[in-house]
Amino acid sequence: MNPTLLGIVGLRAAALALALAGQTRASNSLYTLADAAEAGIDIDLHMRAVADKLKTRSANDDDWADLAARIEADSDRLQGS
Amino acid sequence: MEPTIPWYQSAIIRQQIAQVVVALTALFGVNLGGLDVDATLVSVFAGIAAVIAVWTTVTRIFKPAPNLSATAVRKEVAMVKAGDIPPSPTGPGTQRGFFRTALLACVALASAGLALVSMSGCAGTKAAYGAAESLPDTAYVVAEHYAAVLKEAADIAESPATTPEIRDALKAADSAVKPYILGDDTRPGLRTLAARYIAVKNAQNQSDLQAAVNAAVLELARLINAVKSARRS
Repeated sequence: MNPTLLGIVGLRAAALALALAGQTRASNSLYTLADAAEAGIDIDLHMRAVADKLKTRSANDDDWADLAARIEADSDRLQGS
Repeated sequence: MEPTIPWYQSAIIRQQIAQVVVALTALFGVNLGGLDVDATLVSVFAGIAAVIAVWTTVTRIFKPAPNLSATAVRKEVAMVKAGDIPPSPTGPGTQRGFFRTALLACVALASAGLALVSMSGCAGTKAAYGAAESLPDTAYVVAEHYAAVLKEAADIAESPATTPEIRDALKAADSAVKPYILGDDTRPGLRTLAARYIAVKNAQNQSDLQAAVNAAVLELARLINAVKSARRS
């Protein structure tokens, strides 16, 4: 299992246990940390896929073209929000 | 009543023992089989040890701290007599709480979780940069990193809960970094420079690509910070 996922599971389990024990402030803090970690995990998974690709071959023109298209699409989405 | 308690009834002493055990575990190592934590497994134990140190501090601040030895009693009495500290009853012989099994499990779970998240939170990103064996591949990784962060920025911006200020900050950060990645009228993008370098591997092309990668990384860091700020809000 991905260590980050494992960490998030650990944080959420501890937060749940603390909530059940009535330690709501500590529980909320751990939930917030877990949420923050979860938000960043997509980036890390994406970069891991990039790493796996580069371990087998260098980036080629098709990779760059696909990348540029994704960037333009997401940039448009952001600027249009 | 004897104004001291046995050492094993001190929460702080027991926490310190737990910390030593954790440190020894890290020293000897633990085989976790297929879990991809590499050599940085020691960070997990360092994280746990750090949490125990915080835990000890909280205990010392908020829990009674009866003396553990006659020497400590003598010193406390002397300090009270000298007016250095106010008189303070040391309480009963048992220091209760804090090192309960359930709470220990919670703290261990939370600290292990924190350590894993902090240790491996950017493991994929580090792996990607580490996998780039050439300058053009490094440029590609920077561009992919930007694409990944940009996607999250767009997701945050589209969320109804996001305030206009945060949205504007994300847009501004994207507008600043995008020309460094894709290029614009004033500068070529990473793709163009990487292609030039692959076609003609001379010092000038290498220098141009390296400078562009450096500049892009700096601007990308600002976008990453904007996304982190947006996440926290």
